[in-house]
Amino acid sequence: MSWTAETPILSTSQLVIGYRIPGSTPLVLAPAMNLGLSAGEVVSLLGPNGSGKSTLIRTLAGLHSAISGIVEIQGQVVKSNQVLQTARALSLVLTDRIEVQHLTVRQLVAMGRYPYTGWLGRLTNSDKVRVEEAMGLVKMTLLADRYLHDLSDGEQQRALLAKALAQDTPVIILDEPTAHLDLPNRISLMKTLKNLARETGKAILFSSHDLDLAIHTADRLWLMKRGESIIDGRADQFLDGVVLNEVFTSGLDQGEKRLFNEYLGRLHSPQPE
Amino acid sequence: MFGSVSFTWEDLGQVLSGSQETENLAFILWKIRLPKALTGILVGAGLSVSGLMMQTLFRNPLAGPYVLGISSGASLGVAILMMASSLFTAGATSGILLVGHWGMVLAAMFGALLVMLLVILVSMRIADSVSILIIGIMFGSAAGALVSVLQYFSDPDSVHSFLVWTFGSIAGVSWSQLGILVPLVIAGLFAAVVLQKPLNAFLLGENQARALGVNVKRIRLLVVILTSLLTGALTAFTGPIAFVGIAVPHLARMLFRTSDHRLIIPASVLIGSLLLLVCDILTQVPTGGQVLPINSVTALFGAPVVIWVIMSNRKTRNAWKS
Repeated sequence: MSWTAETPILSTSQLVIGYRIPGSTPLVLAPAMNLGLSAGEVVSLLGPNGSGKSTLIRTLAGLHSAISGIVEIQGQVVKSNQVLQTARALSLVLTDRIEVQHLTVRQLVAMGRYPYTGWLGRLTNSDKVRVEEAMGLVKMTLLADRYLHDLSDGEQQRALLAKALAQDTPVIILDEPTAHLDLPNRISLMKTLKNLARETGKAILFSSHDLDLAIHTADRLWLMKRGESIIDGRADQFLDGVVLNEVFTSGLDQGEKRLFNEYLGRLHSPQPE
Repeated sequence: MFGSVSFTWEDLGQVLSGSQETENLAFILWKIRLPKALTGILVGAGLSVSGLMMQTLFRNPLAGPYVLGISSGASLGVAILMMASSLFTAGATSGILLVGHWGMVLAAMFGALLVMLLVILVSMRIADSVSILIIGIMFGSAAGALVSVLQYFSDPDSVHSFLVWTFGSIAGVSWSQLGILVPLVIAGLFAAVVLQKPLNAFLLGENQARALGVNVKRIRLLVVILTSLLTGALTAFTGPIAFVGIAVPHLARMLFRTSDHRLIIPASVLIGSLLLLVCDILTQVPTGGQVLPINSVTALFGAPVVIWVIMSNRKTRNAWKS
């Protein structure tokens, strides 16, 4: 559980996220954030529904413009009109299920090379090598020629991760990657993310609702609560459940709070690995 | 061969070698059959590729070249021309005789252009594709309603000639008109090929496409302009031709078992052109000078194809939900 706090690959300064409303004051989701993601580290973004996790992810990825402040990746400012530049610095795995007919895993993963190929989208030999490598890293090589619509949710999520790896970016962001998965698949995906960060030195950020898995996988947690400052800390600091309790239970009644604490009590149980 | 005037292979040889005895047959071949075949190829290719691009852009298997209301715009243009002109001539001659073919082409083009400009204006302002789709359908309904109102107040002759136009016809397009249509369709198809890389990324959804580096707004605008031009021009010359644009992309994906636009664009061109030529031959089936409207033939052929696609592919029903 040691990560080196060197210069972050991705950093935000005075970043304010939210929505601009024409002719009115913007809807601000949280106070200004100064965050950093370093090479080889896994960070989990947690928070109740509506706390702004997806907005933060979309803002970091340049899909949504910030109210103010900047996001930098390796010293380059992320701009929402510089999509190609961003695509070479950051890859994104989203929750939207991809349901295209007759698209093989290899074809999907090859799309990760999009920011590098010419107008025909033809793959060079080195592109092809990267595609195979990416599938190897998430153990999808055997399924390379299968159609995407024939895969299970877990396999599809791995294929999407392979696409992100083929995109060859220093930062990978995943929006609720475990949302449609059963427990064994969730555990295996988390382990894969951790290994990837260690082996490839990529910075990985994922949002999740699985508090226990996130705490045991991530090096650090970012905790979001609507309208409040984001909490940034080492994952093992949250094991006592005090902070999680504050963030997640404000809307609950006594009985629900007791159930939540029972759930948090299990955090000390042995790691799922 | 087929058709109301029979050609033998020897006739064809004589016509091609420029023999004097076959002057009538030469006229039929060069002035009627060839332009018609060429028009069929252009219509099949252009509408199929337009439909393919719409299906990819809107991630909707029911999208086709006409979802943006362009054919309704063209219909409105023609309806106004025919029925308004018949009002002034007090129904003495039917509108179609009065305005001629070029007049109808111009009216259809103007109507298609009008709806197209509205749709483009809307798609420059609106962020999501589904809204554009719905607004396009609304434009189409509004134009269709205006056509109905016009029909209600028009004399039967004009309504009849308008109905004949809506049957669609690939005959009667002259070489000079093909001089406009051929470069336009070829340019449109070429532009579609240039767009194949971002179109492939669109298969994954707009957010994924943007995350891969696609300028989503620009590509969407280009696709809307391109489809409008292709369908607008084709509809102006031939009338609305149904089903080809929806059915052919499905056929192409089924036959070639891929969604990759590098393959599916040429495949749609090929299947679309062939389909139109086959449908045109089928219109000649009733002998004795009668010819079926091509729109009925494409629809009679297209409907079972779409049904077959859905029946034989259970996953299609869920395939486009996001």
